[in-house]
Amino acid sequence: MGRLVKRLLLLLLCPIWLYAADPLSPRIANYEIKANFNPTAKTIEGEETITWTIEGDNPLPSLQFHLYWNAFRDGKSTYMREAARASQPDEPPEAGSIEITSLTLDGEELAPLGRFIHPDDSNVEDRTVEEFPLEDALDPNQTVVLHIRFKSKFPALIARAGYERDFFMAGQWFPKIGVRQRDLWNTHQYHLNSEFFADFGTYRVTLTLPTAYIVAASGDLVSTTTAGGQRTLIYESDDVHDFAWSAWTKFRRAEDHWRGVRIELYYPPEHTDAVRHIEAAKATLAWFDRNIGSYPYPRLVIVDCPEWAAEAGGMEYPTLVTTVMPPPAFMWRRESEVVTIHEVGHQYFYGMLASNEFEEAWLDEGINSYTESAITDEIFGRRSSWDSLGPLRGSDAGYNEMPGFLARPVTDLVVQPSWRYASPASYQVSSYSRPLFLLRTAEELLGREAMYRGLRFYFEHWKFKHPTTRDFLAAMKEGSRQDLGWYFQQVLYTTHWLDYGIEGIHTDGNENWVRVLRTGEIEMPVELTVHFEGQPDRKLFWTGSEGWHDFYLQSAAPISWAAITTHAMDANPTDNSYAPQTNPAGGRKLAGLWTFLVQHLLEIAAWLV
Amino acid sequence: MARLGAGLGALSLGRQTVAVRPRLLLLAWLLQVVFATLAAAPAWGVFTNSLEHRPVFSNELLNDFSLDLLVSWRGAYGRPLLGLLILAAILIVLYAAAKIALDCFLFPAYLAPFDDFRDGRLGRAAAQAAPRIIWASVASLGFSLVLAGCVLAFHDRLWLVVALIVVGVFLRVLTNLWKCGTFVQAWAAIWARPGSMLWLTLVTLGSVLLYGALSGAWVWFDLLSTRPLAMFCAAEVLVFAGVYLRLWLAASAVVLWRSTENH
Repeated sequence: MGRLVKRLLLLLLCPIWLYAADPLSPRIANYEIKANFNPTAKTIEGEETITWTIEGDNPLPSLQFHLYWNAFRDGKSTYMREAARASQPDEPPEAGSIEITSLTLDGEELAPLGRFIHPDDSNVEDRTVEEFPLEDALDPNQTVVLHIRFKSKFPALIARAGYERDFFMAGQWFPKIGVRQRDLWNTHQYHLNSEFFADFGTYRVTLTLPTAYIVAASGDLVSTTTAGGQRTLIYESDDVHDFAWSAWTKFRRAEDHWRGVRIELYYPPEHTDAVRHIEAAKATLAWFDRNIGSYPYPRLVIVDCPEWAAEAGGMEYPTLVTTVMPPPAFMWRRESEVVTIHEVGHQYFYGMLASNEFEEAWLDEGINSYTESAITDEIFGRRSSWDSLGPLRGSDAGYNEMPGFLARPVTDLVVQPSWRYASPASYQVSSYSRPLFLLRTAEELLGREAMYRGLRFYFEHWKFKHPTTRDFLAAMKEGSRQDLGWYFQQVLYTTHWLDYGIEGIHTDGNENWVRVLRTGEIEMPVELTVHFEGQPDRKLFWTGSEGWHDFYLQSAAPISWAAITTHAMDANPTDNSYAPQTNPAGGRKLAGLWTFLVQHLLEIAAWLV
Repeated sequence: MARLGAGLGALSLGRQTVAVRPRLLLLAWLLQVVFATLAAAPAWGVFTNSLEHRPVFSNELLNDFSLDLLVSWRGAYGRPLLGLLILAAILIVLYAAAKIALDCFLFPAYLAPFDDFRDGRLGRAAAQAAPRIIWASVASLGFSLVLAGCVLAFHDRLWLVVALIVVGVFLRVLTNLWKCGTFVQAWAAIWARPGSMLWLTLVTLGSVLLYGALSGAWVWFDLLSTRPLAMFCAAEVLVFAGVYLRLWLAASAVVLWRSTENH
């Protein structure tokens, strides 16, 4: 009887065990890293074992690694040169570096063969991608074990990595093997505007550092030992494509849970209301769970950076995000919540979908900006999701509009490699702001339910598979069961903008003409609603394809006003309605504010002299 | 208590001094109005013309204001604003110069409130006072800019910002005293009447805070209001109050200066 019960139990538990053991991702690049962190010298010395599966059909002639911190060695790297061209400092504040001192494969030392390559430009001084030719090409579809020894030197905080005082942020701190796609290496140099791309795998990281340091890391802590003033921490993380950690002597720690996810918050002692980050993270996870898909990891780590290390804030790593608090003078801003919501949202687009951020940054930053604004609107209200000080309100989407979404002409496409943007501002607009608004307009066209259905399908179908824009469009079509290809083609692959407006209303007796202009190049169907005095409204439609269109209406009652549908992408929403009668009240409100501002500046000047 | 009484007396005498010379108050207010009109009037056309036929956007501005609407408006019609801002900046500099010129008349007149300044005597007194008043004004501007820089640099330390504001207010009182004589005399006056000077500094600080609070309240109600012309009138009353406050505090400093002279 007892044996039968045991067998029955085993039979019942077996699927659960199988399910639990089933990897979420392909686990192509699996890392075991042992790192010694020396905060005095600002260095890490480490050993790394990569168990790596070679994908493809043809033999592999070489190995390629990302050495991101070499971007901060000096002013000659592609990153710093691009910074100089963008009128930013052309030298790192303090040099950082990363060096492979040994690389062995089957006992053969390859390190002396290493050479730096520059797949994206002709900068021979760039050392962020290193290639190691193989004497004998490796057969595809086999798993090899690579042993690496490396030395990393923290730069002073730059690009969300490095150190400031005794605060350290270790992101991209170890040699990372490149990605093989279609029998080619997909590696890119570290650029001013680019982020990262890597294969999924498992991580077991052993970190040794002085006991005074408190560590926030993107893994589950499975072991802690202390000896001789040093602490050794062992972390594990599965089905991720990176491992990051932060260390500081003054971190405070708080913990909370959301549906089995352990949320760890590390924050400076002075941030007494840092728990806001946890609430924002929980709201984000709940929103994604409801609308896009579930969060499969057991942990989410939030690092709230001190003000003097704010350069490290606002960054995402798998299961770890860094965030910031607004300055005390701007406490009415929901900056901390918005940044946390944004970074937690990255867990889906950067973390699990893991599109190539070098080549198609919008798939991460843009879609994430759209979901960020949807979440903040839902939590804080559509008009006050960024600024909220009584009537002084502003939305998160509106804040995104400020960097120049309305600036014309649009200089770059949304879909293009991140290092080919005209400027950091253009990258910002094309990868964050325009995608936010173009996806909002897609939502207006599809309906919210269909939009979220499409996003959910995209996520469920493509998670852990590195989708491209084409995959996104196909998934949206299938998931939403509507084809917006005509629209996405215009907004993703052209620099066109959307702008319709009502030029005026002409009346002659009972006859009326409402003229609508298309001043942008993007074509959209236009719905016009005409309001009459004492009569029901009338709705009329236009394909929107010509440069202008006169809507003809006969009516005994005069037109009081007319309006066309306003889309989020519309570059000028102010002219989407027209009334024959003038009403200066709105303009006077702005003029009154302007006058008040000028008079107070005059009065301040009088006080100063 | 005696010091408190002296301080209150100075403020009361200051108010009387302003009342004795109403034309100077009128002139100071007119100067504000003229420069405000020159700086702001060109923008009225831009604002009102842009939206007078746009009912949906106008109604949103009136009834559901948010900074998003300003962003949208700026994107559509904001191109002339840069030119208007430059114009306003030039006029603000000119206004500051005009205010210094007015001070050259105001301080001699307040220093001798019951003198008859007819037959060009005020002009001669102004010419005599001009060098010290210009010098004090320029020094005050320099100090203020340094303080503003410090506030920007340490904006995340609230106690330091408050301390810098208090220092700024003290410098304002010191500048008003300086305009009555030399810097050394102004400094001596502070030491001669430390309690009264502290009182005047506190009242100046309170006035600045009150004026700032009233301005903030105006913005608050204006953003909620659907009656822009009524709010404009309220703003003009507030600005007049600000001008009056400025002259009253200057006159109070002059009264204290006179009392230290007599002392």
